[in-house]
Amino acid sequence: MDRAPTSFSTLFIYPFERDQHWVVRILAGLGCLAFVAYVLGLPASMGAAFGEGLRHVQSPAAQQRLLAVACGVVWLGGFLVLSVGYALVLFKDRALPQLWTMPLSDRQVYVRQLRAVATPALLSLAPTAALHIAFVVGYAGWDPHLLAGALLLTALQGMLNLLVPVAISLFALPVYFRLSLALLMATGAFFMWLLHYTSSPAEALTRFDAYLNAAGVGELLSAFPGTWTGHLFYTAFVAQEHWLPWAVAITLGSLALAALVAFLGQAAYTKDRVLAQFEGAVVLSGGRRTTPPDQSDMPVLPLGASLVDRLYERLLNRRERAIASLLFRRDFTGGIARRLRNVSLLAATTWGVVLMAPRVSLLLGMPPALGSGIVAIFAFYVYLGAWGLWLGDPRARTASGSSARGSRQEPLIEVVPVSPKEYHWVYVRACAFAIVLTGLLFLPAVMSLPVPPSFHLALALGSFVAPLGAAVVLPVLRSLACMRHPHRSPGGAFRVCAYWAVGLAAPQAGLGGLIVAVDPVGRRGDLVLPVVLLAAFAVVCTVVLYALWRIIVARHNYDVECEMGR
Amino acid sequence: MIGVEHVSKGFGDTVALDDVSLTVKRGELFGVVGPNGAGKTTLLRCLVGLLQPRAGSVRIDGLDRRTQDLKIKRFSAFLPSNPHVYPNFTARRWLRMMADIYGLPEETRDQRVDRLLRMFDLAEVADKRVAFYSTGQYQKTTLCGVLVTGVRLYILDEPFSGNIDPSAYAVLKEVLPGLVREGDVTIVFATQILELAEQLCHRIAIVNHGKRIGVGTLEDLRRQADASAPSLSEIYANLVGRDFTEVAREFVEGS
Repeated sequence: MDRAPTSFSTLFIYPFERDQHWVVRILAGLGCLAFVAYVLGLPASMGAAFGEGLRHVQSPAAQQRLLAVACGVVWLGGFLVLSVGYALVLFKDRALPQLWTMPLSDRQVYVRQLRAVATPALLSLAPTAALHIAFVVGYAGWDPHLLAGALLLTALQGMLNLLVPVAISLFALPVYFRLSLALLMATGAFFMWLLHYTSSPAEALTRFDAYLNAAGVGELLSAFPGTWTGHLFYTAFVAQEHWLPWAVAITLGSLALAALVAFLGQAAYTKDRVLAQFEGAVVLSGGRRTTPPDQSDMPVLPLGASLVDRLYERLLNRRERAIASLLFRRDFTGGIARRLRNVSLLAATTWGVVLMAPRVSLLLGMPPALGSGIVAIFAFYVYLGAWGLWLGDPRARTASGSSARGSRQEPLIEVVPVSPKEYHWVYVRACAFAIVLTGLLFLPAVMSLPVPPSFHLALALGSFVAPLGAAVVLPVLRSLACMRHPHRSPGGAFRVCAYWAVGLAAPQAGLGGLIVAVDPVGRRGDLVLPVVLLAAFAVVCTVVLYALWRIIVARHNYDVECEMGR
Repeated sequence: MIGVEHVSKGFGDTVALDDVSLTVKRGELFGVVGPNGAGKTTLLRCLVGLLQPRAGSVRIDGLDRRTQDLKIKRFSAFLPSNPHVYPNFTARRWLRMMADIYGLPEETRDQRVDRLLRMFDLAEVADKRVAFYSTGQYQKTTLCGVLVTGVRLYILDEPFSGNIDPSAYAVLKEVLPGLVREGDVTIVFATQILELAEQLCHRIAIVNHGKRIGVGTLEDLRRQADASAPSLSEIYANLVGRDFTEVAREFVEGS
């Protein structure tokens, strides 16, 4: 039986398969580069931070020992984890069935796979380290401690950030969130340690200013748990010393909210696993295990998920709920709750964009709104690979060729009696509800930010408007992408991506405009043009992608039918 | 019920269907047989609207497949050759979802779901996630997902293919003619098992290299093959133009 495609395979494997068109491969390559940029970005700041902290260890001998041990362990550990992780992913995703049918011993299979994956794993760390060296030298001159720290944390962060998608691929969401929590705790501990060894938080934060700016660009390009660790940094950095308690509280609060949403979703959609892995769910529901007699297939729902389920029952009738299940490819309640979690991540990133944009822009010498918009658009293009395709339209998934080769799956939605109008209406209602709920969850955190009231307003609106706008725009765009062209193509995934992108980028550009309007720096007069340019940029990106796709289809008459065989 | 007129379909330079015409009558159990790559799946995909023919037309119950797609979908269900069930669903959940999409009343839905699950020996695993099913159980789930809809036109691509167990095979062999006999139901299915087609089908179409090389009852096919061959296998060999015994003999002697 096929495994569902993972974000990992969607992003890193399928787009590069031999029968993909070269344009698809190039676009996928760009996506991967963006991901690498992320992997490069955060470690830069963390490395610098670690190095900086290390300077405050008084004994040189202790410093050397610490460095030697830490570097060795992290580099070796990172290398091994990456290699084994990649190997496992490849085994599970693709290679295993084929390799197992070949005349190879088990050992040979493992060796071949490990060799194949070890090289890129090692190489993936090298440029990161090189970039960090450049950062550190450029910022602080030739300081061995800083450099060592940068390298150490390059490896650490690279390992963690690559390990997480591997873990998601291999295991399940609970692991993902446990890892997230572990990461956050580690980061928090590290941060506290750093504060302890610097003379004052202000000094530490100021010194890391440039790195954090650089890191922010990469940070925003990811939906992985680094977002949460970065959140702490963002907030602390933007808020400065005396707002640090707020920063920690907000970060932990937002993580807790997202974890809660994720928890509800996770708890709702599996039955056996819920009981095994989320015993807390039972506690949440007051210790009652309530299995509705007429829904014996439904899991034991925790209170929150039951509430979500009941709310949705009011929102959608039985047939519409079935359509929603079809669209979200999940048991209905769980699907929606999972969407909530992802939307919460989206909102968090939106927030991150808002917070980071002025600094990033100033660093790059451009007006804040322009930086904000470009970062947002770029970030969401990358989102699409891991998020849009993975969780998105089942037809998009089929179109991307992301189901296992040799056993293509038929797009069910094409043959069931659901009109495009109905399909979109259910989608809009379900998403809008999810987003409003998420917005409500985030509102207190947003409003607690120690910034001017007008900025509050922008943030609050941004948390609602950007994703909500996307959810309203997306179905229409999906209609164009999917309904008008029922014949899927290898470029179809990217066509859908383009629509997703503009659907997400346009509200982001609007958000940029909103920020401009209330920009506390007081540059609004200078920023009209950049905002217009941003909108144009989003449109051009979409048009170019769409045109490329049309060219592919027109020139090669290349549709997925030939891939699907006869 | 179904009218296929001069349908052609290609993929790049490959011709998958070449001017195929046929009709399927209401209440008929209609089989499509042919070698691998002959165009059977393409034909079925044209019937269900997954593929648009390059030329020709498909009409279902008087409705044009191209322009009245949704109306046709409301009374037809399709079992693809590579069906997909979301792995996080249970079989019961999947069947209910399919029934809900087709608008079955709740009571009818639940009765039918239970009956199908029992009939195909899925009751014990009905509340487990599909991700943990065996290949055969997965295939039976997809089959049940189609049968639960209660429509009047079923288009099934290889429903008897290898992974289902003998019990399910036997049940399905009874269910398909039963559905046709009992109600206003039409079934079109593709199969490689000639004996099965011969046994079950009122009429059969044989396709090869994208062309329809024969269609009709066994007697019609016999006439078309210009042979006194008693079985569909021999008629098939005649129409396809291959002597399978000779081919096998050559290989064995060559080895």
